[in-house]
Amino acid sequence: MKTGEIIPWCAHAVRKAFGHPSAFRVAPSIAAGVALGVTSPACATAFVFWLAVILVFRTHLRSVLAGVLAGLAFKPFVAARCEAVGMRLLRAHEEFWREMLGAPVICYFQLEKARMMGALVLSARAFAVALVAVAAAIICYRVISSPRFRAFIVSLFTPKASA
Amino acid sequence: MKIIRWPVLTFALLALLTGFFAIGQFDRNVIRGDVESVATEALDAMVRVGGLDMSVYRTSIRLDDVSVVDPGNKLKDIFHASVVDIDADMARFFEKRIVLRSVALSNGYLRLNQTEKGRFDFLSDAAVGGAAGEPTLLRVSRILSWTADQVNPMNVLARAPLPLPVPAPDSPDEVERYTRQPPLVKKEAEQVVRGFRLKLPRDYPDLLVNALSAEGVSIELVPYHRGASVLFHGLRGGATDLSSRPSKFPKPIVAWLTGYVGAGTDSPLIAATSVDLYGGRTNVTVEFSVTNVNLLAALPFIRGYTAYAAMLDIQSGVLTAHGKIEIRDGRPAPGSVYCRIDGFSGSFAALGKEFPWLQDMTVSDTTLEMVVPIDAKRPYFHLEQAFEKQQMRTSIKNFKLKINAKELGGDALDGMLKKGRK
Repeated sequence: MKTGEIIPWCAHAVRKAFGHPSAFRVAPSIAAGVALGVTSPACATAFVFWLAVILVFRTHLRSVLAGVLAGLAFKPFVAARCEAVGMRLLRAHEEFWREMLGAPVICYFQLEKARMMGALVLSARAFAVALVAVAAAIICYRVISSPRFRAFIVSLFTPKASA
Repeated sequence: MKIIRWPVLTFALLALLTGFFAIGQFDRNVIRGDVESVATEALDAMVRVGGLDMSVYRTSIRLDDVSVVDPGNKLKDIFHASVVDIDADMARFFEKRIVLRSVALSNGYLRLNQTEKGRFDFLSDAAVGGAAGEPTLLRVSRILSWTADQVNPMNVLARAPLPLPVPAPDSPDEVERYTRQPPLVKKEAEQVVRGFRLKLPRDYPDLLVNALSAEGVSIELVPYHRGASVLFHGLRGGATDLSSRPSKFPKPIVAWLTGYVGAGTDSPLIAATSVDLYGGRTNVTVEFSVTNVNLLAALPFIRGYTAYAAMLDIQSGVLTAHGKIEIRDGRPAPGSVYCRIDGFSGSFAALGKEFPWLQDMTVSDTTLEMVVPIDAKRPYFHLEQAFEKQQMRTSIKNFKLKINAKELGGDALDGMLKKGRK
């Protein structure tokens, strides 16, 4: 395999594995998968929320699975910080949260528990980070794999013919 | 561009509706089993439900042949009801509350055991011992709070406990469950309260019964001291605004009851009560009237409250009483109770220590009528004041009094004669 064929070959392998989803589906799918992966099922509110997002929105399930696998790697770090993050947030605006979390329907989400609140906040943060990272990666890939960009790179190293 | 996966959303909603429909139509046996197992675990007594009929749309439940088996005696029931009809308020469910608009109970039976301190307890001594001395009211309140918490669908997934970081061996205060989190972002150790939970304002009760009605109910009272139990039968009554947190609910509990005292007798009983525990106050008003109650049947219960009942050797008597008892801010308010005992036969020998002239007194077929004052001083019912204030009338038919002045001394008749001189 020649060096110039590596990128097209990778693109082909990715397409073979993931099908042909649009970039708008892949990025949020992987991000939602990461968010689900870092959340423990014991933190039911966050877990159910991301599960519902994945099921209801037009996510690409193979991308979600890849995101879940990536999220599982970070899960121990996130789980250890849930309690601290949730407690800090709840204590920062106690009156607001007391009013908000006692409201009908919301009272079922158990977000008054620091662990639940922390899990939701941290998984949302994981979603945002993953979304930005995947979007940036897709944009870079698109740019790198475009013939015009390759032509531009090649032109940088090709000596111009003198007039 | 399509953003939402509509088929999945439609399927989820359909599954939800089908689930509700299936619960209402086909799955009654499963729910009946769940009700039995949850109630059995909560009460520490076997609960059986003969049949269950529920409608999710009307939020009503009908239970047939509900019985609670006595843990101390497996052959007996402590509670039985032929039919229990419950009508719930669905809207309150979204506030994590159980509000029952009405509970109707018919053809019921309840056995209450008197405890050593005179309270009447739903569970037998064996079950109360198993509950490690927890007061029944507190226990029931805890069970109801637990039940309200269990209806949370989020709890279905949250069964598995989250692995928590191992606390440091030199934890500053292990009793308050403090632990040190491993530093991840910041370098210094961060102190975190494990299991921190923001206290939400719960200014309403978890469980509220707007109206409770009962018809054809029997209540058997089992005395703590040796003696036969008393059956209240043909009871009909109701109660309003029963809640698991009466101190948080502004309306007082109002209850009323009519029926008969004693198996196979027609001694009528009428009672009405109002209990206001809102905001930590304790205001109770009880108005009652009983007619022609066999005094011998009531004696084993009275022994739990006054020593006089054990000292008097009562052979017969029929009690008629009515009155109003008020408790304001936890203290009995001044009042009185009218009592009349017909056909009274008994001996006063045991009172000889306090009143020597009564030592050899016996009466039979006597009528005793008195107005007993009530106040905040123990023992609350003041028979001695009824004597002193002469709020007592008696019609003695057969009276026998033996006096041996030589044995009793010169002042033996002082108790009688002083009254006569005034």
